[in-house]
Amino acid sequence: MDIPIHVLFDIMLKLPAVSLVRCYSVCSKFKSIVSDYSFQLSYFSKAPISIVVLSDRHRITCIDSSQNLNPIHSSDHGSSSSCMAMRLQPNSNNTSDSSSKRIKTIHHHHHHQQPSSSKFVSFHIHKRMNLINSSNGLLCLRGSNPHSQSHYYICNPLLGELLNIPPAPSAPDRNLCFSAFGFDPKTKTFKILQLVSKSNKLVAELYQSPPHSGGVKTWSVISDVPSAKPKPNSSFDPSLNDALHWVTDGAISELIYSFDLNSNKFKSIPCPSHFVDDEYVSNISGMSVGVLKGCLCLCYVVEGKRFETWSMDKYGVKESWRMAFSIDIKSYCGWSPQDKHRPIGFNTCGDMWLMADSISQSSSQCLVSFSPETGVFRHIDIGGNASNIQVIPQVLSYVSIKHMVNIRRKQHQLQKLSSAQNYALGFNLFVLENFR
Amino acid sequence: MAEEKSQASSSKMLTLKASDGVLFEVELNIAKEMKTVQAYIDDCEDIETIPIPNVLGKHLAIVIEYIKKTNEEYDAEFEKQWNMDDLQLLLLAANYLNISGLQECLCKAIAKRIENKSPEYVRKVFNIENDHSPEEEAKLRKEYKWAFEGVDKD
Repeated sequence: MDIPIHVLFDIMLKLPAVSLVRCYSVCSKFKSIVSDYSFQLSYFSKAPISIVVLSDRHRITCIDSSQNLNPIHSSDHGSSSSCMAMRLQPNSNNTSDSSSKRIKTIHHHHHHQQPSSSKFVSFHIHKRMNLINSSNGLLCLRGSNPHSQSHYYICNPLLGELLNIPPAPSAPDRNLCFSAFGFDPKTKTFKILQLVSKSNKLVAELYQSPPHSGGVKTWSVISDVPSAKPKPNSSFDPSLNDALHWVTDGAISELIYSFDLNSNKFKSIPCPSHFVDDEYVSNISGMSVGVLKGCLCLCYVVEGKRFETWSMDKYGVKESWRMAFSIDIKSYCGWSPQDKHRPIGFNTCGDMWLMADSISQSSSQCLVSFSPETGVFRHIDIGGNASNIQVIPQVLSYVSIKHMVNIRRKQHQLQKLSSAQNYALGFNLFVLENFR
Repeated sequence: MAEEKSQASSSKMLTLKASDGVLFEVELNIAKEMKTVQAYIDDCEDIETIPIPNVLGKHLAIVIEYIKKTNEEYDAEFEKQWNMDDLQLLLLAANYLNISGLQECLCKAIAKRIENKSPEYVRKVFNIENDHSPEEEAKLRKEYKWAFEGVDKD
């Protein structure tokens, strides 16, 4: 039977990224479908947000959240708990309401780890790196070397490709305040912004990759930098709407800042209206910005009691801020979230990922997912010696960097990373419906 | 529930004639879910029997039942009953009849069944010939060697 191409197209759009990599070799028809630009656009617009993990053993691993890994319905084998948080309704003034909701502990049973090796993809990274952020299917990393210039790399963690970028003009680690990366698939160019503190002033350096038309672009200094200094770790997912975002230590009107990747200009983003005065801001900790379901979001802890996530439904419009959900700090069910409750990211359904200290093993970390809809926390236990994990949300790309970006041999060098054993991290995965 | 539906809206019945001559009497609102049939009706209002030349009776029956019953639970169980050939024929039928919900459900089901399989298996499923040259295929496999490890046995 002969399936028409447009029907094949619709089937293939539902395949996870790893399967699409195999599709190149099925036949020339399949290869042309996955190489087709409009297929790629459709795929990237619908692909779920997955996770990339960089462990201290220099292994970078992709976990594709569209693959249904070990659904939790079956029983036996030990036990572990998920826990339902007390749900607070957004904007609820009536706290006596919440006392009637009880914390339920749901005991779930976990599978013994099955080495289903096709589920994760891992590669060796040859040196110490820090994950910067991901944008439209590509990942940016920075070589971690306090004494030399900043070396950035662009990575496709699913295909194990690494692209060298010419080093930035300055910045040993200690002066670096903020760096972020934005990739534009339409022009096949990307930009890396770094904000460096020099003699107490902020200097902005921007790398622009060469456009298709040629010309050598590289690092340049951007003028008109805001004076407000970026707060460390204040941006868990900076890239949205062709702009990069972070939180500063400035006045309320400058609390959230952005860099427009089209105009190369800085601009502040208005805060939610309830940020009325400095006193309110002083009661807030752990403020960070990121992306939730395609909108800019702001996360923070108020008075040490409540974690709130606000979503800017219409980009740039102050009145469109609305509280997406909040969690009573006491309802984290015994997990102590790291880094002042800052999320790692949000998946496509709006579930929040965060890092917490492992309950069972000290000096180990867990990746926890929280579903605002059900109020349930579940954890992904990262066992073994994985104590220095960096985790980032990312849409996985089955397309090679050389087809996504204009590369110039003189500036760039595309390396292939060596493949690592898929389950060497000792993942003990409880991946459940909420992971999707 | 289906009865309530037909009493509330029109009780007009329509006949669909499958490619092997099997006849199906369906309520108008069920038939309208098939956008191809809807277009037929729009063109000739008085028609009572609509020919469906591309779809066998057995598949048309399944499609009609799907439209009547579809909801999340039903969808989850629906695809499990059919083998790969039937799934593809049903998808072609849903595509011809232009029923978007069923197309979505079947595309997902077929994708699930091939997502962890080897290229050889995929070729068999879609009856495709491998028109890559041996060198080209070897090159593609070598480039992303890890992607071919751990696939399900055929």
